[in-house]
Amino acid sequence: MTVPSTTPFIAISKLFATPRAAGHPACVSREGTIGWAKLSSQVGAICTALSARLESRWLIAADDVLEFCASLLGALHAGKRAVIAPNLGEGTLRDLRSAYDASIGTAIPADIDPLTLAPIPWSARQLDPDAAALDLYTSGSSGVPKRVTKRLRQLEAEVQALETCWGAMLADATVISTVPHHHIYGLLFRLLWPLSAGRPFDPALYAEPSGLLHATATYGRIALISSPAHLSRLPELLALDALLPGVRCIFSSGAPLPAACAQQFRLAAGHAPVEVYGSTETGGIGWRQRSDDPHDDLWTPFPQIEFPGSGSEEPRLRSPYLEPGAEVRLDDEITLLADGRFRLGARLDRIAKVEGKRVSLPEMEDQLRRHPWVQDAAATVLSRSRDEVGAAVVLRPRGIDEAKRDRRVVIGALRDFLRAWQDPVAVPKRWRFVAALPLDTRGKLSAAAVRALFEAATAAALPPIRSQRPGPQRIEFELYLPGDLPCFDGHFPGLPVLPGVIQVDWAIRLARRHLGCSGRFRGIDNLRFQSVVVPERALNLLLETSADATRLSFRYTLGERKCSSGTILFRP
Amino acid sequence: MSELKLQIKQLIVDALNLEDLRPEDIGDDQALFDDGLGLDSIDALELGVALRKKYLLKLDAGDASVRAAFRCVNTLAELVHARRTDSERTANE
Repeated sequence: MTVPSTTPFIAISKLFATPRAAGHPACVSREGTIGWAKLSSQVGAICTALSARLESRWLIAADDVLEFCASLLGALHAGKRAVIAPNLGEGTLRDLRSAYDASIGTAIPADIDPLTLAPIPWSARQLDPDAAALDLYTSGSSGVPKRVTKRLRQLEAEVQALETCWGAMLADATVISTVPHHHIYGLLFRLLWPLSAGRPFDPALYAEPSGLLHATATYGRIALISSPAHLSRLPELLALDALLPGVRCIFSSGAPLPAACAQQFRLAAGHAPVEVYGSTETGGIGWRQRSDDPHDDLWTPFPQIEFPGSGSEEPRLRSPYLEPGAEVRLDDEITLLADGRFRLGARLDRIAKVEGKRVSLPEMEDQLRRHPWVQDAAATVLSRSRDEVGAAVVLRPRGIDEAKRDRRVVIGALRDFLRAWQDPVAVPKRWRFVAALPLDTRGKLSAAAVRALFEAATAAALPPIRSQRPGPQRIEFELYLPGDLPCFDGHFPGLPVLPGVIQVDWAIRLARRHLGCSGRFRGIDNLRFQSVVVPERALNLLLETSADATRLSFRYTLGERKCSSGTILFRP
Repeated sequence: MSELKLQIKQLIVDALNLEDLRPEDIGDDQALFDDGLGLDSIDALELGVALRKKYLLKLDAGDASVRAAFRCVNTLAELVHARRTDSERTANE
């Protein structure tokens, strides 16, 4: 597959109005090549079908990149707004139901199935890049998808900048991706940029590392559009030496690439991946490629990017990828250097005010990680009667041993350690020692989950459930009581016993969850504690409820031995 | 006096909502701030409020002897003991 080195760069709005050679490969895969003429006739068919419809906002519901590409461009050519959901899950589409009028694609039962449309030759006109627009969605920190509208002109400006920066380096490489096409990064890097540059792209999502080796064998030279999640695992999964000679350039975006991972690629390939910094809302902001200097962490802004308010607590962004004159507030601290490059500081939402003192949570986490007992740490600010910092810590084996003997010794040591850097007000007062930090599906630390570690009434944390046997109006559990359940702590020193109030609380909470006891607590009858419950044992719990779920009887047993029982009354 | 010290330790744990500390873990002569127990300036304010409430003390934060009394449980107990005696004496007069 050779692409003539003279392949012209064509803006997306002029893509089909400017002839490319009909046989020029638009899209390549192991199944074969889709030439430019075929892509154009598919876009034409979709444009014609959508032009006959009145609905103006079209959800592009395609899992397949080529189908997505034809539907997106067809919709734009039909004068429609293209709506690109963050995913096509039922819940997401329910939330977005007022955001589009109709749908095209095969990923869901859509209004138009593009595969049923016969490709037709058409004479495409040039799109108006200010009128043509896409609605993208960010996942949003609050969990609600947030709409970001992009005019085609903004996306074209980004694609032009990418070609200016790396076009010569990529040359005739085939574009391979491990990231999806429906987020801004994938949309720009794996779809719109290759289309404009006339660089063939492979529509497959390369989830399997071995596929990458096939790709270099098939295509000769590839450009890899990837993410830290993928790249950081790659060295363990395949020999970089075998892969990298066929790779012209690797791009990484979505989260910071660990410095060690960047160095691994640099040592194996001679150059580190190009990391791209930006978001759906901002578009691309800057990029960096790590050198052999581990302290070199500077970013180069894309052309014409400006940072009004850099160095302040409210840095803003001015960019050719935004609406003219628009400014966006940045979530990250930006320090601008004299040579135009910038250093990225902590996420501003991770810089907290604790009783008026400014505290950088990432810095504190770094400091904790320097302690020999600490493997990883996450800090959060808790607002109770006062602001205070909580630290969730993953201990190394030595730390775990110490904590088993006396967790207060560990807490004291870590607090003393942090005092070397931190104001006393910022030193964490709440500590949780956990087996792993709560990461979300994208591998990002979930701030809400960290906070939940502290907010939960941890003394009453439910024990692990080994098995459960549900029946009509009843359920039996086998619970296991690990010795480090917080409720054993101090109850009693040297003689851990499961507190009775915890037993009642567990019964109520499990009944609310499994037996539909939703009424307010009214009282307890026949409460009996017959023998003590000690840790490191399997404990059986039987819950039975009345038909109207207002009476709940519970019985805890250790083997044959009755431990406690009672009847809990709920209001109807 | 040892009764009073234990009371004050309990007050510290309760008022400051100290999660990983029991009253008996606090030494009579252990520094409450800085390298000792590690309480901070906000804790000092809250502890002051709690002491005023529990023992009906009038504490002037600008008073150097009051500030010195916040050094450890021993000094706090002396302060409470002295001020309480003062106020009882005043009440008897």
